[in-house]
Amino acid sequence: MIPIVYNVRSVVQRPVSTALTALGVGLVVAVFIGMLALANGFGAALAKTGSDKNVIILRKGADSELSSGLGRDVASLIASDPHVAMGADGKPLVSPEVYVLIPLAKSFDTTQIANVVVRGISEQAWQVRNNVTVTEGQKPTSGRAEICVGSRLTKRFPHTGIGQTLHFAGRDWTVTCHFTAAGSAFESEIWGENEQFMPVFRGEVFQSISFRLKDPGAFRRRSARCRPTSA
Amino acid sequence: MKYLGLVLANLGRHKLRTVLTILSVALALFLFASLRSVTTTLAATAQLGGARRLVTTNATGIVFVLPLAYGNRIKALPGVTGLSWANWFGGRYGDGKTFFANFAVDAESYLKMYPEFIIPDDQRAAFLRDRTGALIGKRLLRQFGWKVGQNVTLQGTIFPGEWTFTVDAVYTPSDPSLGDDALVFHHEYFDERIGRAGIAGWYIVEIDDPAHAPQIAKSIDDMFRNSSAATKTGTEKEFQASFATMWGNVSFLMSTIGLAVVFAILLVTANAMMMSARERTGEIAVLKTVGFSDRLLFALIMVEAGAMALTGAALGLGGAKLFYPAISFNGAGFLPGFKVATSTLVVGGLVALGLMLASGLVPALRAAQLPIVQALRKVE
Amino acid sequence: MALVEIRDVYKSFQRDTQKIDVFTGLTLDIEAGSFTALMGPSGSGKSTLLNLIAGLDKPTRGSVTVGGAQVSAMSASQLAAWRASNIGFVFQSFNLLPVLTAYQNVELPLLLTRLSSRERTERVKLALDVVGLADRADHYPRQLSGGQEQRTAIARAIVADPTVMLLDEPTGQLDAKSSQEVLALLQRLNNEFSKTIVIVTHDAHAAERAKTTLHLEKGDLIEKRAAAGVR
Repeated sequence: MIPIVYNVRSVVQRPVSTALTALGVGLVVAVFIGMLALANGFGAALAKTGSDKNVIILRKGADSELSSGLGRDVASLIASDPHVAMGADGKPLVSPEVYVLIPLAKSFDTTQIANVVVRGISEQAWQVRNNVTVTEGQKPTSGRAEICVGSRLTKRFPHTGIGQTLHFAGRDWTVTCHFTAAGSAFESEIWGENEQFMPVFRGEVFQSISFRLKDPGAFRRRSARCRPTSA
Repeated sequence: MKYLGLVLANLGRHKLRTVLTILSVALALFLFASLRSVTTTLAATAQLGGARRLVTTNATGIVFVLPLAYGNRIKALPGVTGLSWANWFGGRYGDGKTFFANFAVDAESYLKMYPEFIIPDDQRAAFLRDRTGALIGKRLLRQFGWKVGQNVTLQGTIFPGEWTFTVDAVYTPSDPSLGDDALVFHHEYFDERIGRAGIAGWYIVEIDDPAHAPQIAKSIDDMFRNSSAATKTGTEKEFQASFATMWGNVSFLMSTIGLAVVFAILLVTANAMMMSARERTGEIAVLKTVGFSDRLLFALIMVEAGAMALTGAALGLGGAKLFYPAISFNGAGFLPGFKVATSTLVVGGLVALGLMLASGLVPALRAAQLPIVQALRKVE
Repeated sequence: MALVEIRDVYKSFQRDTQKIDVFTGLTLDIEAGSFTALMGPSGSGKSTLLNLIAGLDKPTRGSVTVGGAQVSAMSASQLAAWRASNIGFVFQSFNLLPVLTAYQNVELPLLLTRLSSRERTERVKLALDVVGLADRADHYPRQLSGGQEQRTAIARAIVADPTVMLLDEPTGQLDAKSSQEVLALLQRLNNEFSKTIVIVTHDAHAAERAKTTLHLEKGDLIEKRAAAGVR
C-alpha cells in the first residue's frame, strides 16, 4: 500500500508554493500546446483543402495558383481527356478556375487590409470539390454579379451577409450564399462565376484546372501525358 | 558592499539551483526580446520611405497590373518630380527554397528614385549598360555564393521559362529596413521575352513636397477612376505599412506568447526563492540573534533575488542583442533590418526588475517578520 | 548595581489553548565579571531566562535591565542594534552558517558596525586566536569537528566585545574532550578577560567550572550556590 496520503498532505502543507509550481507548469504547457496547435492547424487546413481523388493543373513553372495562367483551349483539351471522371449528368468533372487576391478591409479595424482569395468557378466546381456545402442561401445565378462567401470570412469582413453588397474590382457584387468546406482553406474564399470575374480581373485566362480522376491510381500516367502541353 | 560576501555565499549555497534559475530568466528574456523585436522591426519598416515617394497600384488588388501609358500622364501632374515603375517577377533560384524579391524595373529612373541604394559607380554604369544585367542586394552574394560578373538563371513562375542575367552590380541599402536581398533587372529584357510591352506592376512617384502627398495621390486616382484599371495611390510609408498589417494578429500572438512565457518564468523564480528562503529560517533566526535587523535581512534577500534576475536579464537581453546580428537574421527577407532596439532592452530591464521584486518580495517579507524565538526553537 | 537585573518578571506562553506560566515574579541579579551556571529540570525556564536577558523575548510583566539598558522596554529594531554590540550568544547546535567560512562566520557581528575592513580583519583574527583556531580561518563548518565549530561560535560571540556572553547548553552536543576544551576556554575568558558569562547547562562538570550556580525549578530560584573556592 502506497501511503499517498503522505504525499497529498505534504503538498497541501505548502499551498502557495504548490499552486505557483502548478500554475507555472500549466502556463508553459498551454503556450507549448498553443504553438503546436498553430503549426498543426496550418498543416491540417492545407491538407484538407486537397483531395487525392482530384488532380490540379497549373501552368508549367508556376509555383502556385496565383502565378499560373491557362487558356480556354487548355480547358477544352483537358475536358476531353479519357482519365477525367464523368458526373451523374454525363458531363466531365472538370473545374477551370480563376484565382486572384483582392484587398478587403477587416470588420473590427477597417484600416487593416487583408488580401482575400477570390475564386472563379463553373457549375462543375461544386461537384469536383465535393467537400464544399452551401449552408445558407442560393448558389450564384449564371450571368449575374453574384458571389458566394466562405464561412470563415463572414464574421471577419463587413458586407458579407446574405443579400448584402461587396464592392471590389470596380463593381458591386451581391452575396447570395455562404458555404463551408470541411474546415479547409476554401472556407476563407469568395466564389463567383468565371465569366463574371474574367473581364474585371485577368481576362480570358484561368489560373488552374482541377478534375476528378476516373481511376485515382492513374495519376502517374496522366501527368506524363500532360508534359508536352506547354501553355 | 561589505555584505557582498554574505549575498554571494547564499547564492552559492545551491549552485545548480542558482544557475538554473538564472538560465530560466535569461531564456525568458531572450524570448521576450526576440518576439518584441519582430513587432519593432515591422513598425520600423512601416516608417520607411517617408512621404517623398508615392506608390500607385491597381485598385482591384496588388496582383493586377497597370498600363504603361499611365506613366506619362502621372508625370505631367503638378508636383510630380520623378517617376519609375516596376513589375513583380517572382522568379526562383536553385531549389526555390530560399525566397527573395525580384522584379523588372525602368532601371535609370528607378536608381534615381532610390538614392538609398549605395552602388559603386563602375558597377552602376555596367548595370545600366547591360540589357540582361542584374542589380543584386549584398545579402544575395553571401546567400547564393554569387559573384559580380557571374551569370545566374532564375526559373520564372508567373512568366515561365529560364531567365538568365549577368550580375553587374551589388547594392548596400543605407537604411537597413529597405532590405538587402532583392534582385532587380531591366524591363526592356522583360518586355522582349514576354512578348507584350506596356505593363507596370506599380508606379513609384516622386513628389516635390511631402505636404502635397494627399492631394497629388487624389489627383492620380481621380485621373484613372473611370478607366479600365482604376488606381490606388498612397505614400510609400502607407504602402509598406499595409504589408505590416497583414502580419496583424501575428504581432498580438507574439506579445501574448512573450507575456505568458515571462509570467511562467516569474513563477519559477519566485518558487526557487521561496524554496531557498524556507531552508534558511533557522539561519535567519541566528542572524537576528546576532543583531541583524529585520530591515537588513529584507534587503539582503531582495538583493539575492535581484542579483539572479539581473544576471539572467543581462545574459538574455545581451544574448539576443548580439545573436541576431551575428547570424544576420532577417526573417527570410520579411523582417529586414531586424535588430533588438534600445526600447526593447529598456522594457526587458524593467521586466527583469519586476521579476526581482515579485519573486523576492514574499521570501524577504517572511524573513523580516520571522519571530526569532519560535524559529530558534525549531532549529535546536 | 548588578550587570543584569531581573525584577519581578512574569512570563507565560500560549501553547494552543493552554496557557503555560514559566515565571511568576522572578527576581535575580547577575554581577559583572561573574561566571554563572543556570541549572534545573526541563521546562524550568532556563532557556527562556537566557532569551529574556538577550532581548530575544519580552517578559509579560516586570523588567530586565542589562548594563543599565532596559531591555524589556526596547523596540525590536532597537533590540537588534543593541544585541549586536552587547550580547554574544552561543547555541547548543553551534548554528554556524554553513555557506560561510569560519572567518566569515566570526565576522558577522562586525558587519553591523562601522568598522573598516582592516579593523574587522584584526578583530576576527584576534578572536580566532583566542579560541585557538587561527589556522582554521578558511575552513567551512563541515570541515570542522564539533568542538572546533563550537569554539568558532564562541569566537563569533566575543568578536564584538559584548557586555555579557550567554550560552545555551554549549557542551550538549560535544564529546568529553571537546567539552573540556570549550569549558576551559570559557574559564579563561572569564578569568583573563573578565567576561561576564551565563551558561545554561545539564552538565555537572560545566557547573563546576562556573563560579556561581543558580538552580531553577518551575520558574523559581531554588538556591544559589557559590562554587567551593575559586579556581
